[in-house]
Amino acid sequence: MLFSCKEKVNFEDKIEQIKKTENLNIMEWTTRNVFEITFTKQFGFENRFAIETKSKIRFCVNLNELKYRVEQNYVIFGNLPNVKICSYNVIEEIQNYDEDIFPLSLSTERNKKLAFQIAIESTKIMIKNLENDTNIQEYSKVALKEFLSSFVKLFGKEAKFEE
Amino acid sequence: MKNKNIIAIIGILTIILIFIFFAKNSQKRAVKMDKSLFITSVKEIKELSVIQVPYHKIVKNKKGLFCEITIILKGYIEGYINLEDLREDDIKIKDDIVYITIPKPEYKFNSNYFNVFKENVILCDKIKLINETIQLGKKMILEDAKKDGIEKAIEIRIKEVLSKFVKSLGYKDVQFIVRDSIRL
Repeated sequence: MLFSCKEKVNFEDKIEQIKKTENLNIMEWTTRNVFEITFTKQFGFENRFAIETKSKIRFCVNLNELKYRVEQNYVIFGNLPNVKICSYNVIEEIQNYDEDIFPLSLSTERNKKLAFQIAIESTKIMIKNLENDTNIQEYSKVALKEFLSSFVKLFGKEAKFEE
Repeated sequence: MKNKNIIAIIGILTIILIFIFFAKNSQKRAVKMDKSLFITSVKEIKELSVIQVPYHKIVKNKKGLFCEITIILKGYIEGYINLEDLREDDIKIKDDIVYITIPKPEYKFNSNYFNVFKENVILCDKIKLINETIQLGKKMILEDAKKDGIEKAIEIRIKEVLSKFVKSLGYKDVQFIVRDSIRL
């Protein structure tokens, strides 16, 4: 429970308290990627792998950077802070994996292991780039606005956002 | 497919122009539109596309010993709502607040690329198998998107876009109800 019923809670005290939150979980996002990795073998034979990854990413926002001012019944928020990645989980979609390998190749297993490593590391780089994705930033700001609007409504106030 | 893309681009441009027009007008003078003109304007939007999310898939299709293929299908999920069948009673205006009952968000997969990763088509029609595998992949991607929560994402974006639109017309706030059943 955010508030005690016994005493009247001051809005500014409460918002200052909330501003201390460094990692507010604002939304979860799922991405799926496919990697086609080819290893060239001696005598021109190739080992090819198709690997699909699925990633669940948790985006958070640091409320320390939140700027606001109170004008009569309105709480006007300045530019909202950008979201950042708090955590992520990369899953290999084994059921969709496929390979096209040279049957006599001795290095198939080694190649396969390496291909999965490459796919996972590439996925991690792509996840990191999501922080700069304007769609993600815009989408998560909608979620943050909803949170802040509901929060100020608890105090009988209305939120406005400067853009 | 090309025609559809052209229609989608024209649709998006029309929406942008409507936004710019109303945003400029509302800055000049805060005159609110009456309800019937408001409904006409919203209906003119027709298909409102609000989100595009890339989706990739490895799709395997095996019909027998010498009839199998694996393709890699790439494209994007497009989320939208169709505002064309909006009726007068879907919009209510009370004390500067607009209440809109919006149709259920829809989504489709637009494929822009595929390549054959592996094939063994000695005993079957390759073109037919590829087309069938693409259709299978599209179905799988739509299922993935649903599992990933695309419907919620579209709904949030639609509310954001329509809120901005309604507020640019001079109204104070907007409340939404999502219609989830097909109206007779």
